[in-house]
Amino acid sequence: MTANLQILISGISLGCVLALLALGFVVVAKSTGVFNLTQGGFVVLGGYLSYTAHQTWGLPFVLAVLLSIVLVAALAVFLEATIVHRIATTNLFTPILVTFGLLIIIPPVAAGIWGPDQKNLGDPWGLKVLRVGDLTITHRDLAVIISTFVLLAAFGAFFRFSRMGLAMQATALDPEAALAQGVSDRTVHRLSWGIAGALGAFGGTMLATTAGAGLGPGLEQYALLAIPVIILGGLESPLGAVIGGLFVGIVQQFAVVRVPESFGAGFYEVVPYLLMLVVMLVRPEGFFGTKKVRRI
Amino acid sequence: MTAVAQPLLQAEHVRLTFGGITAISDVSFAVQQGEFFAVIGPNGAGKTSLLNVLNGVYRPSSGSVTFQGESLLGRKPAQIASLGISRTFQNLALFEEMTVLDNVVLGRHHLMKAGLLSGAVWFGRARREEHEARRDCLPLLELMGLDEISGEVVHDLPYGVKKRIELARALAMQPTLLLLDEPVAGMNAQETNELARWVLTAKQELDLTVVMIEHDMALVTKVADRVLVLDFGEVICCDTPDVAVTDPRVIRAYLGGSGDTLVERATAGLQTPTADAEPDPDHGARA
Amino acid sequence: MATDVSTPTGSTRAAPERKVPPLRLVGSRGGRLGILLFVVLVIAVPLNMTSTYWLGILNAAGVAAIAAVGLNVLTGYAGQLSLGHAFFVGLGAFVAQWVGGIHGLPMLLWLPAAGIAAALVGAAVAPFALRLRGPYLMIVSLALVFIGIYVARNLKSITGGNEGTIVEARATLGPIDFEELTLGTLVFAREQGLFILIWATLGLVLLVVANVMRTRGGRAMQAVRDHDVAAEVLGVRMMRTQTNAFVLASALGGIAGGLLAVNLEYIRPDSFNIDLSVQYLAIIVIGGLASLWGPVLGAVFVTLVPVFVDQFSTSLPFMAQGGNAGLTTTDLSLILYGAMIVVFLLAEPKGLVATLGRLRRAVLPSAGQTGRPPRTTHREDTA
Repeated sequence: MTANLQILISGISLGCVLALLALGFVVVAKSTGVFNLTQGGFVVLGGYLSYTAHQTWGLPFVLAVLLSIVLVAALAVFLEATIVHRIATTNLFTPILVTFGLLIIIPPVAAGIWGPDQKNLGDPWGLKVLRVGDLTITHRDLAVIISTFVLLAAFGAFFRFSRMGLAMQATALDPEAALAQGVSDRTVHRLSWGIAGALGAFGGTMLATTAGAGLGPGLEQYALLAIPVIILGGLESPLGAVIGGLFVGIVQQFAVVRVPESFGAGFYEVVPYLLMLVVMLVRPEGFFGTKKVRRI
Repeated sequence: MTAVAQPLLQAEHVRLTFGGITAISDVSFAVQQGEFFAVIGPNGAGKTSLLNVLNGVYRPSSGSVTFQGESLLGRKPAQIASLGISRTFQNLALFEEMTVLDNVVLGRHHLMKAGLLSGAVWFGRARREEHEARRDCLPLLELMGLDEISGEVVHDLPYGVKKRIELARALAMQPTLLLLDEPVAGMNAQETNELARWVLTAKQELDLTVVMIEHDMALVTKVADRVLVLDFGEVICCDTPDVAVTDPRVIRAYLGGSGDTLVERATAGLQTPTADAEPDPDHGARA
Repeated sequence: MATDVSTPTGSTRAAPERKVPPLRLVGSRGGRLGILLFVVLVIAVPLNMTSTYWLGILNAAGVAAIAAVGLNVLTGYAGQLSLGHAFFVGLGAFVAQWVGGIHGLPMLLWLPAAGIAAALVGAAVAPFALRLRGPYLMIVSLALVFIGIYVARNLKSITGGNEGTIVEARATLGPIDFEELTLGTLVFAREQGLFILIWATLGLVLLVVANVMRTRGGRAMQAVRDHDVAAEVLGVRMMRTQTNAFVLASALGGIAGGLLAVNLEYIRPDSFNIDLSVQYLAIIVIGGLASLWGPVLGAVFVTLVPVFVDQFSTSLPFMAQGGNAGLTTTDLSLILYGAMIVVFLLAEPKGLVATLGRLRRAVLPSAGQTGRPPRTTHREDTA
């Protein structure tokens, strides 16, 4: 029982990170219609920039993460403004392919700058744990879970109450009506990329604090786990991203511990993708997605 | 066969909603074999939506549509196409990267059977069918004055020519029922006349029934046997064009809607393609 | 615009000989010369090229070209994106080793088996991917790469697990052994024999794809790509058509995988990863989407990238040298692939094939006009 609870908590922690990453995809997909694979690159850059700002430049950890978020968000806006918006409306695959091209560039550049070794982010939690009865919860998991929920609350409030957030929703539904309210779709597109970049950078930093995995080449593989998450939740559903993220995180953690060895090495790595295939067969639009009526 | 002539196409109490928006609220009509049936109405009256229901692109929320006595509900567009219903689109829907000939030959897709393997080795059925398709499309290309440009890629051709290619493609399907969505939008008077002539010739020679959405009242009066007037997704009149234009409700529908100048434009028989197009909902986010 | 209008009666006088382009695979004399040149080169290049190093590179390019021609069917002609082409290539490679190596069956069996196995998996997966419009095929294909590597790592008896396996399948066609080709007294190097096999197969694959694209099935793929609703309204069944494209693409990927296996002589599961898919995508984007020769051009170009990166790596300051931090050849190649995908999609979306076409027209102004009458014929006599 305790062991299961233990797995559940680390699953929730992983799920929180996946939810943040998935939310980055969903924000862009919902407001611009582009399936943005560059998101995986934002994760990598976010992790490494936090490392440099904290370990090399000596900024306090929180400030370092904030700086990393700002820098990656700025890069995201820059990429949208200079490259992606030019091809955003061509056809289905060109925008995906362009964001994929951008994704390919980032990890090797990071490897070139930061080298192939694992880095220690030097986060303040280290290996400290909190004991509740028989349960041991790492400070890191607590921090991830709490900060994710704070971020999600802020995110929800932004979309529900702020003028800009409302405008972003309106743009997704009807670009012309949003324009009439004085919000240009260009602004909304850039803003959504900025938000995606920020979410990616934060998620990447949190991924990089995972004990054992840490910051090194291959971080983008974790970022790609956001893709099964959004299929589970529904391509354009923020709520789906959060719940799908938690679900995938928990299932994967249980798979890590509970799946017998006869399933072979690395089974837990493909669990999210197998889940995704099942969902695609039963409910292709995702659990929180809606079947779109296409108007022509 | 019953003694009373069964209508070729019959729609009863068709209703279509998108989310909370009602595009068609309650539309019934019947089209007889060989008839030239026009559908008119102000922008946003649900004309194009109606056409999309008829060939299976949209599925109505309620109501029924039958063609030659068979229900069309739940059938996919491709199945409806093979029943003998073809159409053109308001905002051109050509295959822009392909040649004129390939576009028109695609109209014969449902009449051909060859699979990928036969095509891959260029032998047997595929080879025979491709030759037949070309032979059968040739007269059509000539009829539409497209034979000289049949090898050109559609992309760079002028608007008026593209409209003709689309009509040729729809006719290549050898349909029983032809649906036309604003075939002369954006054309000048001379082009409109020529297109009308082609449509009438084709209708006669190929024994077609035509349902045409059109703003151009002059054209409608000239070619249509009967006209269905839609407003806000409802039928307000269904009669011969001469009667319809004098119907007070029709006049009110045209003049009432936010000072629309449709009547002026319609009677002038001239209009610009862009100003007239219904808002293109395809601009919405794609999944 | 009005000058374009011709009446039904007016058009019947048109010169009959150029009414409709003839139903030929290769319409122009230039094209026929090109094919002749290709056939001659397949024989002449290995005979006259003494460097096995460069022949090896051309062989790798040929294999990549076969795989890319397949991906081009899916992405270029049918408009669907796949990140999982490496999976089908890998599947073909291991099936070739299983059928040809472990069971010792001849190439006439293992090469088709590689293609058919990939086609079957493609057909089994297509229904997952094509139920909704959207990027679902791309997502499913991404999953295939991860699942494929996991399965291959754990099927040790066939794949050798993480370590991989030596390929024992032989490239023999009856009495002809392409790996030890002899012609009378002439003894060919391994690379020379494989060059003939690989590039001849590429020629056949190009012929098949060209035939498909000019007939019903291929036309439907292009129609769905250009305007899916219009295609459906004409009676094209979307799911069937896109499945066809996916299965054909997978089959060609599988065949390329079989040839890749004998060409490399050693394969391991991890080689068939996303980075390999990236290469194929780069090839078709750079070469030219939806063009027959684009993938061939792109494959030669993309295969040369790491070769040149290697050549110049000592003179580039940001490259890793002797333990210093910096870029490896693989890293820099990936960066270049990514950058070229982006640059080509923005600046030359039809790829090198379009660039070459423009160059040719600049040099030979008449070349571009073959078989095409001038577009805006002024015809006042139609009234």
